[in-house]
Amino acid sequence: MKGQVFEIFGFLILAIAILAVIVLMRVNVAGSIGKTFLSITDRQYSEGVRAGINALLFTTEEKTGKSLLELIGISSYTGKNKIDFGKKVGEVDVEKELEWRFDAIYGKGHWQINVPYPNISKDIQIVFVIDTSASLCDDIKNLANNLPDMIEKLRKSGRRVSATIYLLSGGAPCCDYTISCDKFPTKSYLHCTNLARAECKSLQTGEGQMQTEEDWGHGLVCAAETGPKEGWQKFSVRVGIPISDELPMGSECNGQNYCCVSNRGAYSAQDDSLQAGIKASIENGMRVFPIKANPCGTICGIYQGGQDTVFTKTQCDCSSLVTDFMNDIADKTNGKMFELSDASDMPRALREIMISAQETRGKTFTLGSPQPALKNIRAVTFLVPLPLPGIYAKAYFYEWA
Amino acid sequence: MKGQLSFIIKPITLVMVVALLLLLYQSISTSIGRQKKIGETLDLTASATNILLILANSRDCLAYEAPLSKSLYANAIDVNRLDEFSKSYSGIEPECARSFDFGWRITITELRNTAKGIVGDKNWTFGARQFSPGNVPSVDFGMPVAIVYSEKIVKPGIMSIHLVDGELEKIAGVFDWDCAMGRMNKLTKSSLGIDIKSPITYDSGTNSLCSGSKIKSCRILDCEMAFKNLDQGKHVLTINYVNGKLVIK
Repeated sequence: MKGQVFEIFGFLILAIAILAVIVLMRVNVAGSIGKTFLSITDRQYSEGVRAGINALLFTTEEKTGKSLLELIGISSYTGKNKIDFGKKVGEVDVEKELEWRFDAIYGKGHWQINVPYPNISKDIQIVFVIDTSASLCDDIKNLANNLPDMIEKLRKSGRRVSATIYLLSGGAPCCDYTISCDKFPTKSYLHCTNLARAECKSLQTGEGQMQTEEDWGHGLVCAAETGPKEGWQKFSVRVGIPISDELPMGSECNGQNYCCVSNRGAYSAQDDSLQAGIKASIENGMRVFPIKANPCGTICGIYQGGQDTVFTKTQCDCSSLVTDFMNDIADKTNGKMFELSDASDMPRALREIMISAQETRGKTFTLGSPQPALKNIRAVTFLVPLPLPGIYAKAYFYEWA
Repeated sequence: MKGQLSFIIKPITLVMVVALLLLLYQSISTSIGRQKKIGETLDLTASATNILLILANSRDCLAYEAPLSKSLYANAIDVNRLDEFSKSYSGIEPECARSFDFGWRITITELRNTAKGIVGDKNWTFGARQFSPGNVPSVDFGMPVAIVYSEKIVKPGIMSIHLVDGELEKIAGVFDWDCAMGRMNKLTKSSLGIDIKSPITYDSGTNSLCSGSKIKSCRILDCEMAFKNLDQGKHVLTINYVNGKLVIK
């Protein structure tokens, strides 16, 4: 009996051994073949995803003709997913442009793109349009004393700020100096130039009848159209700062030396100048931050060869109308009006403008569906060139079946 | 009694051992068969990928070349080349990406976003029109491409391939290869041993090689031939390139 039991045991051991060999073969041989196959196909698929991304990012958006890679670069620079290409082209929604293409190729819910925006700030380009009448003597002096240092400090802190000062034609002789560009140092990021009537056609409006040294409305037209000395950079923060204590073309009512606040119709030429300034600013994407100098008090200027102190009653009476005009252009161009209590208040106004002009930036650009758990996710990283030389953002693309 | 029990158990054990060994053999055979099939599929997939990549990235094929820099971009294809290929290669694979082992046809679809959703706006197609009849190994897949109209107009698209590894493709591939070699004066004589599953006929009017008995699938050949139709079964063919023509016996 023992012998039979051993025989049966022997057979069972043999059977188990053979079955173990079969199982081992299935798991090891077939498994390794399967793994090799999967890894090769996966590698091939990953390469396909990479090639596909490159091809898709090379495609262009219809209105701008810019490639999707360029658009992501501009988004990373501006910190916004919607890019305004101006009046002619309009706004481009980068998210939408990417979304439909990726959905078409990889399928909805099977991809995600993530672009952390680099920690940069946009170029800030400022154009000043300055009333050069004698009532601005102290304000311009204060601006000249503070602006160069202020810009230099900002630049040292990493902000790319530049300013071009346009002095409206006139250049009144003040008691202690004459308003001119000599007051401003010339640097690569700071320039001053006279806004000559011959070159600025807009300023020729009302010439001979109205005061062009105060025509900051038409002056803004020229500044917005011409841009700063270096020209408008693409996608920079464009800031226009008119400085005056009067209405554009003067606060005088129908050319008479008095103010008629209640008769707004008497200021139609001034209003035309303002509207022209608003239109040009909007068309050129320039935000206007007017600085209203204090129009009340006395001014010291050279009149008929001699020094004289004049009380600015007309300007003072029209103060509220000037505020209305300046608020109007600020509101319509997404800017802000600053009112100086006196000339020494200029640095505060400039500082506040610098802060207000900074646009809020998004931190990251994420599009697509959240990455699922327990899925084989293929990732592709690529560099996105920004519209700044030598600066790139990193973009991460994820795809899953 | 003990002895009789032993007489029964021993043959049963023997039978069971043989059965187990057969199971082991069958298992090994299945694994090898599966490995072979996976290998074939992988070969087909790799070949199809290579053809797509060559088509999209070779100057001789569809690749877009920037006019000033003369540089190429990954998977960016020239719309003018697409138009040209659709006309010139409506029934045969272009030489720039020709495979002598497989037959394939390419379809490129331009994608557009409309109010109704994403639509295939335009289509281009080229390559072999017909393939070996029956259940033959094949793969279908696509990859994204950028269709370049100009530097400022680049549209997204998908380039898809249908690749077939059949008898007709293989035989026609050998003839086309001999034709190419003959034209280059590199080889004027060769031989081919084949086991044909469907009858092979030659249509001199269209210069096509056809496979199948009732429903025929045909492929255009590169060279004209003097060819005697072949029945099912094993054949040994000698191929001679004579004055731009293949003479097959």
